[in-house]
Amino acid sequence: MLHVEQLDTAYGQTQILRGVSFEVGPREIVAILGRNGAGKTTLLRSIMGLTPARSGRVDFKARDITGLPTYEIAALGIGYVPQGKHIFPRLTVAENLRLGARLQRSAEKVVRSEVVAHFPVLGERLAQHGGTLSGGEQQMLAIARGLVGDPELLILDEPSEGLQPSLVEAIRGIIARVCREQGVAVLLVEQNLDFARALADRYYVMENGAIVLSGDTRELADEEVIRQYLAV
Amino acid sequence: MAEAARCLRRATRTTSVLELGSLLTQFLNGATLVSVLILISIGLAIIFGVMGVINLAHGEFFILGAYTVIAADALGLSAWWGIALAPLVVGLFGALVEVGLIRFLYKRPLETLLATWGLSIVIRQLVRIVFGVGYRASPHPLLGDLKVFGFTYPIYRVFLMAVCLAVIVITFYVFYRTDFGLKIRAITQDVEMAAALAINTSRVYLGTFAFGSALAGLAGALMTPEITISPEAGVNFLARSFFVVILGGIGQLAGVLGGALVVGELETFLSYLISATTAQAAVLLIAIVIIRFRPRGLFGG
Ligand SMILES: Nc1ncnc2c1ncn2[C@@H]1O[C@H](COP(=O)(O)OP(=O)(O)O)[C@@H](O)[C@H]1O
Ligand SMILES: [Mg+2]
Repeated sequence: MLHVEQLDTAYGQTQILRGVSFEVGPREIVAILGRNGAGKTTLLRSIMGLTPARSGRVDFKARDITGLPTYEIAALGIGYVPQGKHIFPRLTVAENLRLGARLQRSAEKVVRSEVVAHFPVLGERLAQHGGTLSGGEQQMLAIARGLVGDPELLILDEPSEGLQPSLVEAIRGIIARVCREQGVAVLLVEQNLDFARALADRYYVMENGAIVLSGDTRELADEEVIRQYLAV
Repeated sequence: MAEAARCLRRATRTTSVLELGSLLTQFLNGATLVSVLILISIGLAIIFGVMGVINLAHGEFFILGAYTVIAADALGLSAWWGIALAPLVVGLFGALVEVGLIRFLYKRPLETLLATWGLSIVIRQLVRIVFGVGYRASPHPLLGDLKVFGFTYPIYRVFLMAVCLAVIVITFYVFYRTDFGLKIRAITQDVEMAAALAINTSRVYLGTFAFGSALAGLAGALMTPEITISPEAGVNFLARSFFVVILGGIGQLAGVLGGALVVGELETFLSYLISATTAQAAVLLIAIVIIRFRPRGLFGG
């Protein structure tokens, strides 16, 4: 579904990604782990075309999407939930969701969609501005917005960041349910190991802009790995 | 004695009626300027809000609208045709400018400033070459006065205000009630996220720039009978709409209305008391003082 090959990305003179290669299969949930500053967000931005890669190649659904403008990449069926949520603060919840649905459907239809039904808290706040929601509600909105356009791949950048444990658990449950139900593949960036372990099938560990380790999440219990690559 | 007092009282009353009339006239003159300023400033404001582009050629788009009326007249078309064609002509011109120039300068504010400044010089020079350097007399589409209860006011200005009001209402409708408007608002708030939601940002940029240009062109066309048209006439309006946008608070459509109200009415009433040039300078000064104390505009949060 998603193939990333030998991706190099730099901000100005500073090289961030160094030959990153990995893949996400159909319906698969894949986690990218790594400390702050490892280059995880940059990797997702390069896939989305927001920070174009210097070299390397990204294929989505067997199509080369390297160098395409962001809106075309998104239109191919990728839902993007960036780090820090990036909901539109002065648009209503309903408008945020309509944009997620690519303005293809009326507000009423979007609001009554199966996806939104998984986020009951949003249903009560449809006319409210996004900026007035709590952090947890904003994250719910960002995820719902990413899913409501029926993507084939959902990209999540640290969805559990800054949320209290009960909310983290709720969000994990929703992502698991919706994505399994709708058959959406997920590329999940996380620092919360338990969260990633509970959700993902496979993992990659990034360090200094390169992938240094990968495997099956069921085998990701090794204290050594955690200490070496993930602990602060 | 009593007779004299009665006369005096009557005279005073007549004076106050007169003054009321002239006050109303001043207010309406102000309202005319306000509505035209709104038209120009909305374009300036949304082009900046959406694209981050400060269009220094916006005043020239305004005079291109005026010269469209003059050109239409030279071709034997009525002034009404000129007014109707101006937004189309200038909107199309704006689209060409966006595709041919602005598009290459996204995210480079300084270069855009220089480029649009250069463009303004080019347009002025082209206008001089095509239409000549001097002032141009223009056809008047609608002479005559509107009379209500003994109060008279030029009917054309009433028409002008009505058109501006209609266009302002349409603009707000587009902005707040259509999908295109929703895209515009999304891009204004978070352009990267808008693109990541499959919004074709460059197409919205093109539409926004053309729309803003068209509004400036329409404003110029509407003002043709009201001002002396020369290649340099745009600068004045660009400066005023800058005050309007800054006063209103950048990034809010409603702020433009408030900013225009302050600038337009203030200038009109001041020029009633002092010379027009001094009035304009005074408005600039007042705007600077207001912004000193309210840096985010009169209506900015
Ligand atoms: N816009 C930027 N300009 C320059 N450097 C950046 C920018 N964004 C991130 N970086 C740098 O790139 C590195 C990787 O950042 P990031 O991809 O955000 O890591 P992560 O998401 O794993 O925490 C960091 O060293 C960060 O300082
Ligand atoms: Mg990050």
